[in-house]
Amino acid sequence: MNLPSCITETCVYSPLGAGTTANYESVLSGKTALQESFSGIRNTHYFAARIKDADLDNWLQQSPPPSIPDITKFEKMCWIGLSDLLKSSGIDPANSRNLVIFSSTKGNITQLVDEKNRNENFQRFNLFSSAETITKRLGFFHPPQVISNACISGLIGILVANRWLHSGSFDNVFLIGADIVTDFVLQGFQSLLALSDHACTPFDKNRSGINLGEAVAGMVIRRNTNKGLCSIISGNVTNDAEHISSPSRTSSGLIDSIRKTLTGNDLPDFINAHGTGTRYNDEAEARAFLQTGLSNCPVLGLKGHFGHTLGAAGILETIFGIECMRKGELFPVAGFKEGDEAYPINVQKKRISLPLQHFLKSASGFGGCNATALFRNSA
Amino acid sequence: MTFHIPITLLFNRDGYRISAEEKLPFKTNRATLESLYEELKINYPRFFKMDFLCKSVFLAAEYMVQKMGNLNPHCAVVLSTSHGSLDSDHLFHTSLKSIPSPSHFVYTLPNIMIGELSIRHTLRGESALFVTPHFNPELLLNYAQTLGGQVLCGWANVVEDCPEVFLFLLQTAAVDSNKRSTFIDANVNYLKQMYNGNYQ
Repeated sequence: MNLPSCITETCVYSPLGAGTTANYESVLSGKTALQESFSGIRNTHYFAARIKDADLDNWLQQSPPPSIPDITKFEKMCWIGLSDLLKSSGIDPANSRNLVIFSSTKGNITQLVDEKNRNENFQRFNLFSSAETITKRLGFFHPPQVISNACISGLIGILVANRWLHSGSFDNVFLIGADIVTDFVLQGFQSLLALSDHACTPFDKNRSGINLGEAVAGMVIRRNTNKGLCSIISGNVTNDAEHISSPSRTSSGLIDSIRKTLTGNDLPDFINAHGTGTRYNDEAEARAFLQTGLSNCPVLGLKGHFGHTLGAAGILETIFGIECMRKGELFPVAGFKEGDEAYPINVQKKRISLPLQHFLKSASGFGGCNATALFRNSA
Repeated sequence: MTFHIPITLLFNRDGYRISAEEKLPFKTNRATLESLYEELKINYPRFFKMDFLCKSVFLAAEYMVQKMGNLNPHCAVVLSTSHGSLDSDHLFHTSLKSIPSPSHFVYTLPNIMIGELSIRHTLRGESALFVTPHFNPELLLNYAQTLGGQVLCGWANVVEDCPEVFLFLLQTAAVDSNKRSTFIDANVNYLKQMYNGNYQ
């Protein structure tokens, strides 16, 4: 009988700091990366969490020099994350049993929509080219895999990694999720009236939309071992098959996904939810938790600290779930005061200490997709 | 792992319509795509809201379903693309000069084509969207094999005015791990021949 796959190393780089520990401590002390910004975008003001160029260049100096011509912010972030994982894991990148997976929604979108040199820009900056340039220069043997599944990209990356490991195709997966805040995406969410004009308040009854954030989050996942931080017990992807840009009004796909993930004997001690702060997402999640018997299960959400980091979100939030289990503590959802009366779920309001063995991670995204996974503490 | 026929290469990389049964000397591009909708006698007004990529993959799937019946609701969908939503990315970017268009923005993610197929064929199961530089049957078959069951796989890409869509439906089966790579290799070669238009 094979053991499950195990997450053995993690990294997070965000406006709240460099490394998993620094980010966790910032969140625990109540810090948020969200800042008010004014921009030429329709003369509106909005909140977003951006990584400062000076911080990024400082982190880059602690990594091997990338020597990538015209390196973009997105590529710098991926380079920093992947270099960190190589260092902390001690795995030889040239090992032919390694796979690198990148999860991103929009990658270098600013360069790709530049009207000058369209074809050259596509060849240089498309998501696969960027990923391949990075893995080649870091000495990886296989070409990378690139996943782009809207807001579930990060969590689906974990599930895809787990399947490759479980099937014996690879021994180690390096998973990197990253996205940057661009005018393109800001204006897109603005056009959908989904951007909040203050710091987002996931699951709060007065929530009014999302904030975008920047982060790179990464993890090494190894096959057939229980020596590490946490095991991947189960998980799956479903589709609502109802709408491409809003969640199901019955949460059908998310409910299916949670039920399939929780078919074993293990139940989650808490949920690290998607919690974007939009009316419909948070309602759909709350409805799904209520209908799957999880109404008492504490719900965490991190978007009030980091904003919505798109392709990084599922990985970043899973890493925080792992840290909570290892430290045996839960912390309040930033921005949450009072929930929807119609959906009485147990949103975490205080910092508490308690033993934690399992947690559920959920995510939903455009295209009607949902993903959930159950993780077990290795400690 | 067995393939259901027809494997559909509805638009080859020059936009020519080709399938396992017919080779039609009819070049499709952005302007003539909708005539195929008429020809397939579909009544699905939602089609007209879709972007070029989604329309192309939608028609390929319609063609497949008309030939072989409905997809199983548990059927997984695993698609790959190199240019992804670039066509809609440009349209949305252009709209920023006047009024940002939400109807273009919602198509600026490549997995939306999986969403459209899921809505049309009531597919509620597994899915994944890989960005690959070329049609990569090794990746699709290996990943489908990890999912099990029926899997709709394919490559869907639009470059400027030309669509390219290659869909195939496969029924995965348990294979001894020592025979697995030979088995996958044989199927990969078959798919590469089909993709290159060498029908048996």
